[in-house]
Amino acid sequence: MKEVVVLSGKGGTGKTSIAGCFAALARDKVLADCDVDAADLHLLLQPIDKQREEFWSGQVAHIDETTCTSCGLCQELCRFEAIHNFQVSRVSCEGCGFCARICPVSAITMQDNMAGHWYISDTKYGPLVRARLGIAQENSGKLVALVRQQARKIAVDKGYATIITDGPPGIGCPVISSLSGADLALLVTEPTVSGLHDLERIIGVCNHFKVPATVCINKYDINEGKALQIEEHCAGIGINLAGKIPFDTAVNRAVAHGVPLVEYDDGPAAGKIRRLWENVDSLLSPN
Amino acid sequence: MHDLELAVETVRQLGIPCGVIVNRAVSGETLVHEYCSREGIPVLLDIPLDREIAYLYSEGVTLAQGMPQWQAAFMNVYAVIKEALHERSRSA
Repeated sequence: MKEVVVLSGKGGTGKTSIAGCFAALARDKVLADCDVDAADLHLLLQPIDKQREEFWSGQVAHIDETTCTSCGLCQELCRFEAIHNFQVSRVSCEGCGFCARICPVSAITMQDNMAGHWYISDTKYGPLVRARLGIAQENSGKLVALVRQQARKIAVDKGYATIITDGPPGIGCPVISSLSGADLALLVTEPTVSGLHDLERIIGVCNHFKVPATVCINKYDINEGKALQIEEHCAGIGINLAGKIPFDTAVNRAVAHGVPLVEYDDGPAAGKIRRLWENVDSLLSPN
Repeated sequence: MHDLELAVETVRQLGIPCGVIVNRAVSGETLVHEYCSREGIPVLLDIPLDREIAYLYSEGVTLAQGMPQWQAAFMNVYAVIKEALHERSRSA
């Protein structure tokens, strides 16, 4: 079984549009949406949820009103200013447990925190694992690991050859969690100053975790000079270019309709994405 | 649109007032505007999906620099935000 994770370093480059097309193009695959802070792949794949599970992570302080003497020590000493009028703010509480230690009458206990949900769904393209982190919740890296673990389990059970993972933007904890141990990273960039800058950073992360990377330049014809600069940069460090996709407003229309572009039309961008998948597929299974 | 709802939920939970700028707006697409008027959130500006704007950004040039006709619109957004902040500090 092989896993390709679609990443970008920068948000809004077209990761999810491309992952959605791969979902429609690949055979025998499991889909994993690892952008748990703002999962969007399901908007293109119209899933039917089969299983919904709670994600528990971290702790929050809880004050028992009947025991509390309103002495104010916790409010005074909480360095996150998470306690006001003897109520704990779930958003501000870091779960450090200090207040529970210092409360003179032991009115404060630390309780497990429900931080979100994860889902296993059916789509017309195959099974999808995704998650939704609660508002202002942390630990998305841990939830990403859980989503990938479930996707792998399904792939093993069904004997599927491929996992297509839509990764989160950036280069932080959830990105590292979605990348480690993957077989291939497809880095989607755009021909802009920030696109190149963020591409360099995500390539650094891939190198560090020894995950082979290949690059796709989306909307390359917005600025062909910059696109060439990115191509030269990649060639210079030995990273192969898997595809170039032209600017095409059909991409936006397909998203608005909630379907993968390759199912929506057969225009210039759709054609290039088909070629891109063929290249990625052959990198995943070289024989 | 889906991500906007998440962002609105987040800032509301934090008690921070918000306004919306629609980027890469497609003419005739009213989903975001309808949502904002339903939720009572002001739409401060629409920036259209436009190749020339995309090109300026790709070169690292701001819209206000590259297309000076946009300066007034951005100054207006700035004035609206400034006024909202004043109002907030007066009522606090």
